[in-house]
Amino acid sequence: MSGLDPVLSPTRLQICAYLSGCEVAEYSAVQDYLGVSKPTLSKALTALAERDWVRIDKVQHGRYARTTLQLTDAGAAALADHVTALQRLAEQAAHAGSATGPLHPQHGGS
Amino acid sequence: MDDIDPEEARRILDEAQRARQDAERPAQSVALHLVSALAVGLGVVALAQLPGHRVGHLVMLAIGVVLIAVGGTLPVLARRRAGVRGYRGVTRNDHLVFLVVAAVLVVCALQATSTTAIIYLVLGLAAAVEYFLVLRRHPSVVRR
Repeated sequence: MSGLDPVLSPTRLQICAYLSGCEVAEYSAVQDYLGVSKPTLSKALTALAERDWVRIDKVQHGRYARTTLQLTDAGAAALADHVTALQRLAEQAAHAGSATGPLHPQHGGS
Repeated sequence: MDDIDPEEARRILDEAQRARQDAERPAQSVALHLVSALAVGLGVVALAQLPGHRVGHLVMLAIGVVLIAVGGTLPVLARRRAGVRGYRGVTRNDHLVFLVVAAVLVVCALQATSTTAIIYLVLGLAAAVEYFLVLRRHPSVVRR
């Protein structure tokens, strides 16, 4: 029992981690950052949105609609739990080298 | 998921850490950061200049406030243009600290003397260097 959430595959974890660094990010910004295709990102986001970890909104911007993404409090909590589990795993090899600094997303990004 | 070894876990953690930092401070041009840091540094210096001339000092104070505001806002606007908005947690607090420090400097500069002008000169230089390092996410100033 590692405590790792199987839903948070590396790509989904990257999405949540990226969104934990801002209040809102545009779909295109996340896609550019991850360097993945639209369908891949869309699939990952659907899985996260189904669990209410990421909020997906369409915002009208002039003549165009932009899709914005926001990590929810539930998503931030899931990310924190997953990161804690990963840190526990990584600490097993801590004596071998320098450990990574903690990544604890803060809640309340409204 | 359960078959992740410690090295793999560390690599995933590093990537997640980097992702968050890249959202907080996306890669931006050195020129933008230089201009921002210079604006902040010159702004701090300007706050306390011409202490003997009432009107001149107030003008310099206003110029200083504008320069600091420009220096603080430019990277945020560039980040917003890249499609990333708002901050959370520690980074939000960093911005609050920036505002409080700027406010304190402005208030202290209201009663500036020629000595204060020299102190602000040094402070301006330090602020420019420090702010540039923060914007460039230099290891010496990144605490996460």
